[in-house]
Amino acid sequence: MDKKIFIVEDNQDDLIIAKRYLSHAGYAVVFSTADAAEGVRKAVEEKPDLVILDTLLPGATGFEVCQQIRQGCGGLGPKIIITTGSIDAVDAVKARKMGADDYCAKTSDCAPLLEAVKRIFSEG
Amino acid sequence: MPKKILVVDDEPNILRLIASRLEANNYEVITALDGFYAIKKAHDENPDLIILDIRMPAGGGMSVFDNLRANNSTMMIPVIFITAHPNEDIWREVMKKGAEGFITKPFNADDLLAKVKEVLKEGIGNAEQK
Amino acid sequence: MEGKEGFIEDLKRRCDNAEGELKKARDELEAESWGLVKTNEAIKVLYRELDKKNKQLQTLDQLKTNFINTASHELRTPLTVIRESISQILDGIHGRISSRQREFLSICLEDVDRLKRIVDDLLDISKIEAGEFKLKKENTDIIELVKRVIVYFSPKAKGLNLELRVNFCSEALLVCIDRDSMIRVFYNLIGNALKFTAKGYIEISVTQSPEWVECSVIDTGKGIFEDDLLMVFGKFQQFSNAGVSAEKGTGLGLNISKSIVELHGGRIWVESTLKVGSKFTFTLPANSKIAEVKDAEENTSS
Repeated sequence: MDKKIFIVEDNQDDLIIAKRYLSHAGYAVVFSTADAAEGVRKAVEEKPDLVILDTLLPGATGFEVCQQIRQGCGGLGPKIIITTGSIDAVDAVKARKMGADDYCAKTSDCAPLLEAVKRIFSEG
Repeated sequence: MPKKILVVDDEPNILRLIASRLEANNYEVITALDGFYAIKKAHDENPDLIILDIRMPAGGGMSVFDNLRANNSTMMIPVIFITAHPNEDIWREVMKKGAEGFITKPFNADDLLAKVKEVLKEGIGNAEQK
Repeated sequence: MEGKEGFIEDLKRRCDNAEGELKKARDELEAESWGLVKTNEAIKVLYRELDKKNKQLQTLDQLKTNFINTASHELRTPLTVIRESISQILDGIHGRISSRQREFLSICLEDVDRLKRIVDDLLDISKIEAGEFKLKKENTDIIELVKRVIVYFSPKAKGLNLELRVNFCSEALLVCIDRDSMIRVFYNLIGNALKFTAKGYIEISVTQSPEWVECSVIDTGKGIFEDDLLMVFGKFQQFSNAGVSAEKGTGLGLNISKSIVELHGGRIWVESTLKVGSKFTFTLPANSKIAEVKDAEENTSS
């Protein structure tokens, strides 16, 4: 599999876990950052296959980052998954409106994230 | 004729001590260090009483007990269990299975002898009833 | 003609607006629907996580219990062997022994028994701290229970020339307690009082208020240093005895008594004056209070 994934996440532990499980499943996490602005910039520039965003980032929310990537890519661009440690129905709706392709819970085994990634890549 | 007691425990020291205490009180004692020999000696020697450690490696006192009770030649022999940590569950299980009771480790000599005397007197009565 | 065109334009415009509004509403609905589905999925994930954690906790709990049981067996076995060996020699089963040998073997026996008491107390503390110490509470006459313990100590008190006094609020008093544990607490407090009192008396009192039953053991002993008062219920606290004949304690009795009292929902504390004496007091919820709590529980659930 040669899908390129970016992760924008400020929690180091969550980042390590996500990287580990994703690479184990055969995906390549080619870039990660804790900085929202950098995340937007690189996503728009390099157009990875998927960007995984945390809801809470220093100075910005995952929703803003998502919206900015969509705008920067003219409405298309990479697939985007927003992950969160605290599920909220209102956030879920917001994620959709901001153009995210999925919204899932963070768990210690990354199962929801892996399922979402698999689903997104199989839909093409 | 002195009563014959079979003592079964996987700790050789415990075995030795129980044996010497019982012998000093005029009982004839045979011993076994594991389940296999316990059952063999029960068959061969036909003791009047068996003192059995409830917790032994590879099978445990309970399975030895079940085996003895399942066998015509040994089912009548009364059994006293030895246990290190008595609790209600063990007590209930032991009584339900029809053992004559148990003594706890560390036991003192008086408790052991009292229990043995008690069971041997009852043992005769039960055997006749059965 | 213009009128009609204007009308049609207006209609078209309104249609487009309506279509736009409809599309917005549909998009909104679609987003909310999507959001709900995702939230639902996430809730299921959380349930799964909760279940996993629950199972982990149960396993840990079981490991703790197994450890305590195993430790119990492993410690008790050598103690049995040592005690019984010495006992048999002292009983003459293995030949005559000199009085000198008897003396030293008796010392061995005394300390083996002491070790056994410490091990038993430590295992109880382990159980208490693991939350494994289960109380079997039932309505018990606490006055009768205290009297039994006093009867047990009477010969000893007499031998020490100490008076045992009682002060009971009634002939009998039913309290919801674990009988064996409560006997243990009284045994501990009265035993301590006898150990630390050289002359005078020990007074045991049981009084009642609407909500609490209060028990205390007063002695005219040497008292406890103010600095030590805080530590008195701690583990392995020993103070030098007044009487030489007293059996050495484990240093854990008061700690266990405190745990038992607190598991019952009560409090225990000590007041003391050097050279005058000490007073250990503990409270237990009176049956009336328990009845109140039960009523409250029943009312809220109905």
